[in-house]
Amino acid sequence: MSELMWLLVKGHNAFQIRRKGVTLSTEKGNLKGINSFKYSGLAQSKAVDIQPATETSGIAYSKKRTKKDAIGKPSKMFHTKTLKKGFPRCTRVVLKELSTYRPDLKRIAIARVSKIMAIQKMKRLGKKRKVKLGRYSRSKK
Amino acid sequence: MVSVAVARPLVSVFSVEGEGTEGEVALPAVFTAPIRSDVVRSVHTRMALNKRQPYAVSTKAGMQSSAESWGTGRAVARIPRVPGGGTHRAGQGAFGNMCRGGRRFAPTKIWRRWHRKITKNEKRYAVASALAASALTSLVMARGHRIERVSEVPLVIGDQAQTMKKTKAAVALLEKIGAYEDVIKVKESKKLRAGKGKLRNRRYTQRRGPLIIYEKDEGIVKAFRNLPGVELCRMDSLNLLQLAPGGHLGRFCIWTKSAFEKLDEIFGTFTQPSQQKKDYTLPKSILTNCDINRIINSDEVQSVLRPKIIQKRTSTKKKNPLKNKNEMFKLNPYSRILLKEAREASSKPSQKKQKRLLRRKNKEVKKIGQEYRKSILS
Repeated sequence: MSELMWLLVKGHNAFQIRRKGVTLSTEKGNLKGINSFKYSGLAQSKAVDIQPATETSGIAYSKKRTKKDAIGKPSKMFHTKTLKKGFPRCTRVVLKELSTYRPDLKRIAIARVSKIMAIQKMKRLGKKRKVKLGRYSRSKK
Repeated sequence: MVSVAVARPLVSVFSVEGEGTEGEVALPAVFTAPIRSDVVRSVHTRMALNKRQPYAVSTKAGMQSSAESWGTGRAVARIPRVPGGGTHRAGQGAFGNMCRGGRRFAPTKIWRRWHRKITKNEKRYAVASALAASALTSLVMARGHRIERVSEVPLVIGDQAQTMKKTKAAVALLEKIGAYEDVIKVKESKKLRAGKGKLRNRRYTQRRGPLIIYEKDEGIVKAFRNLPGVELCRMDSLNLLQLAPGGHLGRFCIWTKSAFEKLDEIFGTFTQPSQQKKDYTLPKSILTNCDINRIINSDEVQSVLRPKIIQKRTSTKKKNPLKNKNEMFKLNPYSRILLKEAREASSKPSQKKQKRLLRRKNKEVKKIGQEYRKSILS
């Protein structure tokens, strides 16, 4: 079904954002926010979503259900759990789950966990993120 | 060929008055019809044209003058000019599309081709497709409906909903089944329309909410119709413009039980023709399994494939022994020792080693001194 679904959804859908020649996608289950079959949370029957549980701590890890009794049930589409431990433990859980579920998403999932945790740490400490300046703006200064 | 009885999935019916479900109904066959977005889009564009009313400018506009050209020789353009004198109008250009008060270029006519014929079968195909798409969670979400809290798609509710009279009760029902978020979305989306439409009785734009499909109106229409974005449709007159607004698949549909059960009667199944449409059976998908991975990895396909050809590398790239040490060692094994010696000769002992050597030296000097002292004293 997922191939057909992708064909129906890829051209335009409510989650797509097109700006300045870039197409991004905001649906749940899209780890990279990219409009592609691999990362699509709509088309893929197996998809993973990683979000901050609260502003300052915890990772909400959700996995698309594949069992037959969950199909066609929007409220049961994702199974969510909160990971509250530190980075090594969180990643261990995520890697273990993904190794059988979607091994191709391991790297990007870990990257996302790490990024979210870094931002949460900043928020806990009340610091602001350093804004990296591009080459152009640096030369201007 | 022996027909295989396929177990059709069951859809639960959500209770209107009580909590939870009240029984199950079999999924009508329309919901497994092929989803053809191209058919839906083309039928939708043509259907949308059929609501138009002809309009045109007056046929006389700009032509009600006895103007004639002055001809050449008067140092003015040869456009027809209004005759006479005494008014400003006299001597002004007329008729031409470039003239003030003239006729417009290619004036619109009421005999434009406003409406389109659509093949009945195509129309039915589109409706079946749109219905099938409305049963897929991802497509309904991709259309922008808020159905995260809805327990099941397609959503079927008990027949008591048809006898509802009050909007208050309707809101409570939508809240209970998790569909009220979609109404809220519509409510918040209300915006002033861009452009002239504002002046033409189309002042606001808003999104579309759920479509409620009922079998018999016993108050349900009046109960729901004032909710923003909510549309109601009788079972017998399903309309593609409502099932796939804008030609986009996946409208969020809420069915009453009796309406849902009637679908098989109206559209028939893949084996039985429809009872209401003459000689109509549902379109079938050409591809029975669209899971490409499953097909490729199936035993049937894998068993007839030949093994992968692994090409052996026939030539190796030549490497420069003067730059590549390993290459040099192959040609001249003694170069390894030469290299080692050269390295040792050129390298100084590390700082740590130097210190260690110095310490050892100091120790020895000290020892000699002590021994000498002992020999004097004894």
